[in-house]
This record gives sequence, C-alpha cells and structure tokens, in this order.
Amino acid sequence: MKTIITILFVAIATTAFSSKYEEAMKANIDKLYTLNSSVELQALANQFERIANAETDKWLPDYYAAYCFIRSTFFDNMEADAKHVQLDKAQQLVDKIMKNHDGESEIFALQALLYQIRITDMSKGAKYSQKAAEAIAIAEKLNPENPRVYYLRGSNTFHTPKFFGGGAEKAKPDLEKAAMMFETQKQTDPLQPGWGAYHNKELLSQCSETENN
Amino acid sequence: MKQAFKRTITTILLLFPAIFVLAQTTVSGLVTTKQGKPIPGVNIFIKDTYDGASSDDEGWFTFRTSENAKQVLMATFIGYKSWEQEIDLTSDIKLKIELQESVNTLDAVTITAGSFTADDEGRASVMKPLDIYTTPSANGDVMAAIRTMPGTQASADDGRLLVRGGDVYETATYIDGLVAAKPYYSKTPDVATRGRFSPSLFTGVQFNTGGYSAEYGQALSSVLVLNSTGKAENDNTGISLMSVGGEANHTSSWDKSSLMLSGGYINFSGYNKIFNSNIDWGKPVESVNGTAVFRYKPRSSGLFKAYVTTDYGNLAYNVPAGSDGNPMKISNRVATVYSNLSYRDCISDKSCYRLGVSSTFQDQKTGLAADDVNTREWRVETRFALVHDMSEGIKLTWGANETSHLYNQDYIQAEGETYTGKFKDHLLGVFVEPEIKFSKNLAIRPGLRSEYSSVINRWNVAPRFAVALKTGEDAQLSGAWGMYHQTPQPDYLKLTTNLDFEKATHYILSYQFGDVSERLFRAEAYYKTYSDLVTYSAGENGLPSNLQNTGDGYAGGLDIFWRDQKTIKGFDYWVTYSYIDTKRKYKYYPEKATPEFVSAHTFSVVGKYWVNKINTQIGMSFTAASGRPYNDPNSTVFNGEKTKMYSDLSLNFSHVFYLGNQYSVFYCSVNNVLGNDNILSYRPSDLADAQGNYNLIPVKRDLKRMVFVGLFLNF
Repeated sequence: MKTIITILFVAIATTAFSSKYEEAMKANIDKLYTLNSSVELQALANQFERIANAETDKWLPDYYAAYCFIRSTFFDNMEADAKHVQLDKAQQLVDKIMKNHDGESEIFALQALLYQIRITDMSKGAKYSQKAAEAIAIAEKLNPENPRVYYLRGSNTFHTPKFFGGGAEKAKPDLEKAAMMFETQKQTDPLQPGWGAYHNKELLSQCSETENN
Repeated sequence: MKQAFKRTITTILLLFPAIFVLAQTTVSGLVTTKQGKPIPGVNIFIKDTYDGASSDDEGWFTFRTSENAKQVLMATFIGYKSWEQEIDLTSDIKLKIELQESVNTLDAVTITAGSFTADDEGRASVMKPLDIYTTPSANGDVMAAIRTMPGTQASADDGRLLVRGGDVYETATYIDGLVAAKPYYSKTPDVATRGRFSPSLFTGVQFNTGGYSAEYGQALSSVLVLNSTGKAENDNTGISLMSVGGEANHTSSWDKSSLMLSGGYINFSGYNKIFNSNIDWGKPVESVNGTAVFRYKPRSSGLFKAYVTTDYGNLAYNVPAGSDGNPMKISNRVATVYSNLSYRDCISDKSCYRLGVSSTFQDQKTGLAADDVNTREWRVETRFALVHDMSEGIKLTWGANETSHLYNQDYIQAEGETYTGKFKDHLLGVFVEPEIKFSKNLAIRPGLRSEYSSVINRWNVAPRFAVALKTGEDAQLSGAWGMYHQTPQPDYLKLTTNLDFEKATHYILSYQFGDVSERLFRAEAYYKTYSDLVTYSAGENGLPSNLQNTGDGYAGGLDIFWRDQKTIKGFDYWVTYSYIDTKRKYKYYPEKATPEFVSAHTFSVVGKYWVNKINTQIGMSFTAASGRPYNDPNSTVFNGEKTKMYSDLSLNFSHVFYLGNQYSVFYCSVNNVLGNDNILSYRPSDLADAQGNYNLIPVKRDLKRMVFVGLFLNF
C-alpha cells in the first residue's frame, strides 16, 4: 500500500514537474511568434535560458533562447555590429547544445540560420553561405524530413548571386519542397521547432515576381 | 468550541496551499558595470528555477518568486563573468549587482605586434585569403601577395620574402605548425622564383615580420605561418587552362573524410618567344607537379590532415659572365617532395594538442658552365604542442620539436676534381609560452624557447615578450621584444661545423585602429640588432674560407598599413609604406654596408573594384621602391652605388561566370603595364678587362611585360 502511494506520489509529482516545463515552454513559444521588438525578444531569450538553467538535460530551452537572439536581429533596424553581438550570444548557446546533442537535425538547421544572418555585408557572403551550406547538409543527413532544411537551402541559394550558382530560379525547387512539407507535416509536439514557413512563403512569392519580370 | 476549532483547522488546512502560493517575495535591483554604467538585457534569476527577469534599459530589474528559503541568485550576460550570490528569500530583497567584464570576449585585446594576418575569423587580420588570388601583382603566388604587406622588399629579381633588412634565409615558412623547408621553387641567379604552395590549400596566413611567438625558432627575421583548409564538404572537379600550362584537380568528400588530387604542367617556352625575354633561355622553365590532400575528421574536435606535394622542374639559360663575352650556361633540374601530416584534438574542454611530422626531400642538379653541383637534402620535423586553458584569461602553450637535416653536395669540376660537402644536424627545440589577459584591455605573452643543434654542438636560450593594450573600442597598442637564433646555413656547414648560432634581437612598437572589414590603420616602428652573423673571405675555387661568427648589424624602420573597404561601395584598397635603415657586416662584406636587396623606401597600393553588372572584378597594384645599393668593384666604397628607382604597375581582371551548379573564372593579368625596363641591380663580373676595370652586368626582370591569361573551370 505504502509503495503504491509512494509511486503515485512520485508519478503525480513528476507529471506536475514536467507539465510545469511544458507549460512554461509552450507559453513562451506562443509568445515568441507574436513579438516584434528586439528588446522583448532578448528578454524572452533570457526566459528560455532560465528554463535551460533548471532543465539541464533538455536542449529545447537553449535552442529557443538562441532562436530568440537570432530573431531579435530582424527588428528595429539593428546595426551590423549590434546584430553580431546578439548572434554571438546565440552562437554560444548553439555551441553548448551541439556538444551533447550532435545528432539533432534542428540544431544544425538553427546553426545554418545563424550563419545566414551573419551575412550583414557582401564581404561576409562567401564565407557564411558556405558554412550555412555545410550545416544544412548535416541537418539533412540527420533528418531528411525536416522542412527547414529545404527552406534554408532555398534561402541560401536565393541570396547567392547568380554567378556563384544562386538566384531565384535555382532556389525555387527547394522552397517549393519546403512549402509542401510545412503544409503536410502536422506538428504533434507543440514544443518542437516550427519556424520557417512564413519566410519560405515570402521567398517563394519573390521567386514568382522575378519570373514575371 | 471544539467545533469552531475543527473548522479553523480545516480552513487553515484548506487555505494553506493558497497561502503557500501567494507568499511571494520580490527581488529587485540594479545591474551595472564596475564603473557604474547600467547594463541592459542581463538575465537575473534564481538558480534551478524558472524565476527571474531581464534588466531594462537603465539596468533595473524586478521579479517575484514563490521560493522562500535560502537560494542562489545568478546574473549572466555575454561578455561578462557570470555573477552569483546566496540570498535569503524570507523577505523582499533589493540589491545592486556589479558585473565584471570577461577577458575572453570576442572584442578583447589580441597580441598583434609584428604580425600581419590574413584569415576570415580574427579581428586582428589585415587580409582575407581571397586577397591572395585577387592581387594583380601576385598571380596566385602566396609569397607575392604577402609582398604587398609593409616590411617587405619589392625584390622583383628574387621573388622571395626579404623582411625588414633580413636576408632570404632569415624567413621561415610553416604549414600547420610544421616547417616547410623549401617554400620556393629553386632560385637560380638573375631569375625570380615563386612560392611552391598553391593558395587554394590555405584558409589563413599569418605573416610575422618580427617579435613572434616562442613556438617558432630558426628564423632571424620573420615567420610565415600558413594554415591549411579543413575537410572538404563538396565534390568538385576543376580544370585550369593557363597561358603557361594547365592543371586538373578533383575533390571527393565523404562523411568523415575528403580527398583532393591534383596535377599540373607548366611550360614557359611560348612566353619567351612572344614577349622577348631579357634572359637568353636555353631551356625555358618547365615543370610538372602533383598534390594529394587528405582530411579525416573522426570527431568534432579532432582533425587529421595529410598533404603531399611533389614537383619536378627543369630549366637552362645563359648569363653574361664577364668581359670575355662568353656567356655562362646555368642549368637546373630539381625534384622535390614535401609531405605534412598533422593531427589535432582536445583531451578535455581545457586542453588541446597538436602533433605532426613534416618532411622535405630535394634532389637538385645544377650546372654552372662545365661544372656540376649535385645537392641532396632531407629535412624531417617532428613536433607537438599542448594548449591549456589554466583559468579565465590564462592560456599556457608548450611543446617541443626535433628537426633532422641531412645534407650532401658534390661539386664536380669539369677537370675531374670532386668536392663533397656534407653534414647531419639534429635540432631539438622546446618552448613554453603563457598568454595572460589581465582584463579585456591588457594582455601579455612572455615566452621562452631553447634549442640545441647537434652539428654545431651548441645550446641557445631565447626569451620573448609581447604585450597588447587596448586603448579604445577599435584601437590598440602592442609591443614585442625577443631574441632569435638560427643555425648557420648549409652552404657554410658543409665546409665547417665550427660555428655558432646567428642571433638577432627585435624591439617592436605598434599601434592599430579600426576593423579590416571597414577601415584599418596600422603603424609599426622597429629596431633590430644582429650579432654572430657568419662572415667569410673568398678562398680556393671560389669557396668561402675563414668562416667565423664575427658579423653584426642593425635594422630600424617604420611600416605603415592602411586598408579601406568602406568609403566607396565595392571598392577595396590598401596602401603600405615602409622605411628602413639597415647596415650589416656578413658574408664577404669587408665592412658594414646596406645589403644589395634593400630599398630604403617602399610604397605599394593595391585596389580592387567589383563591377556588379558584368560580374567582374578589376584590380590594380602599384609598387615603387627607391634605389638599391650595388657594389662597383672599381670604387673604393663597398656597396656605395645605387640603382634607379623601381616601379611596377600591374592590372588584372577576373570575370566570374557560371557552368552547371559551380562558378568558373576567366582571369587575365598584365604585370608592368607601363613597360618600365628598370635595372633591378648590378652583378659584378669576376673578370677585369684589359684596362683592369670590372664590368657590371645589369640584372633586369625576365619579361618586360608579362601577360597571363587563365580559365579556371569548376564542375
């Protein structure tokens, strides 16, 4: 009897505990896609980092913290230097989780995104698009069903000058593949990464614009 | 009563969880730097909980927590050491947090005195690897691209690096930390040579013009460190069709490894016909080469690199020998094999190691008129180094190397007499070098190196010291001092081993501001003293005799570098100026004199403009150098004459186009566009004419104008 009570107690406690994690994560993730100021996103990144600090065996909190720092550079017309400071923070977190989770496709996809955002001027293009391409290749190897792989590859190609093998026309097949995957893959776990669909759509519409011109 | 009591208890029991939840404590405060400047965006939280907040624009923060016992409060922010303190949460807490800057931030000070770096990562770098390709005067030669850096001589008649008054042999080249004993194709009189290693194999170049780390020895003036590429990620086939030959390469990549194979053929015979060479070629330069590059990455921190390159070259030409009018034939056939194997990995988060072995084998057959000189040399270096992160801001590097050197030269005279000069040397070197960052703004690097050379049976001890002080956001002041030793050259050791190390002491002061991706300025003043340089007098058969370490000298100067990629969009240029005052007594010099390879003033500009519309980059480089001393045997002053000023304007254009999924390049360059037929130096002839006067033979560049066309295709 006592054992059963103990087991029940532990079970309830654990459920309560993990639901606290899931609740906090879910609330923050929902908030993430509604924010459009860099300060708020950085504050949210801190919240994810706090969760990471308490949940040392999980990679998603740091992953989202890194994503928030990267996303924070999209807003408020941030200057190149300031962007790199945020990206340095993100890189630190990516390095941290990659150490123990180097089989996770999503982490390499995030790494690729980070490299792409590093391209703040033309002189950085060759280096970081190459690095992004390498990260995308690993992400694909680890999970060919990850739609972000094709979105990121398409985006890489899209932004690469035509004479280096890039351009809208070349990017289109990957972006279309990503669009289809974003559409058909129903997200079962709300904590799993889900970004990319919106920007993918945007790039695709830019592709058809170039076609019509 | 009893009833009422029961009810109260129940109420309390029922309310308790609610009270428990409501009993929240407020934690608030201010986060600043040690200097009291507020830091926004700091993450302040209770360890192992989700409770916390970010500091606002003024550094303030506040949050509530249901924790109610002793807990640890933490504050973290990038670029600062993380802060923690135990707090008691039984009542509200207000506190001031002072964060200390971390010394390991990306914008922390780096030691740069004497060092010019070309890589993509470091903020201390002044060039990008791609610059080597796109510098017009370089024609794809690493060494020639480096010659657009300050502190080097224009040396169009030599082609090798001559750094801050030092002779050619005073610059050592390292690949992935291992010596490359023959970094140039063989040099023969009057004909310039070029670097042996293809720039495409390297991601970074560090050119040390002095004051360099204790990790390197056996170089009195300069160390050129080339860092090779990592594992290739894509398969690729490349074909290069050039006006001087062709090359093909193929890269295959796998999960954990990659392999690149390449082969090439060079022939200059067409050039000499079209462009009317200043040299009377018997057999224009012809060479074949093959290279293999293998990479294996067993895990994320480990990398094995293997690089083997071999080439065979053949040339012959006639040089004016003297007043008798009969030219002397010089021929040269050289086979070289260089291999470099290295492995690096980390034992833990804090300790990493590198180990490797490099080997240079060269078999050279030189013909001087009717005499033959056959030289066989083999140099093998084994080396390891360990790097430990001792604590925040303290990094310790130590290691050792053993370099074996076998040398054998047969001088076969036409009359039948053969002289053999040979020696064997084992050089043992050990070094230790901590790098200490006292703060983000101040770093020092004291180092100690010691070497033993078996052939001369001598030890040396060489202390080094470097310091860097950050004086502004993008500005820093650096200084370096050090002692440098070099075993005497094989040309001397083959005759006698009763010699000592040649020595130099460097003093460097350098100031730099800006960022290479925008604008960068660097000024460096230096002073060097030389001692124990090998001197000799001309003996029998023209061989040196009376070899002693009695030479000495000095070199002092100023090097300026300016690079700007920001002012005009798409236009990138750099300007360098070097001034040097140097005199030395060495080799056969009767007295202290400025060596014949030194120009007091050297100025160079490299500019590149990208024309987006036509996918083409247009490049220009211009070098001007004041006259160089030469010796007129008819004069009483040694090296007392001076040549006229030297100048060169080179242009190139690279058109990028696209085949399949890969890009290809059409490249064209013209060196010495203006066709200045400068006399670079004069070589005295050995023979006096009937009046007892010596003739001076002018040395010019091989080709007055050189046009190079290449098509580099990738599939």
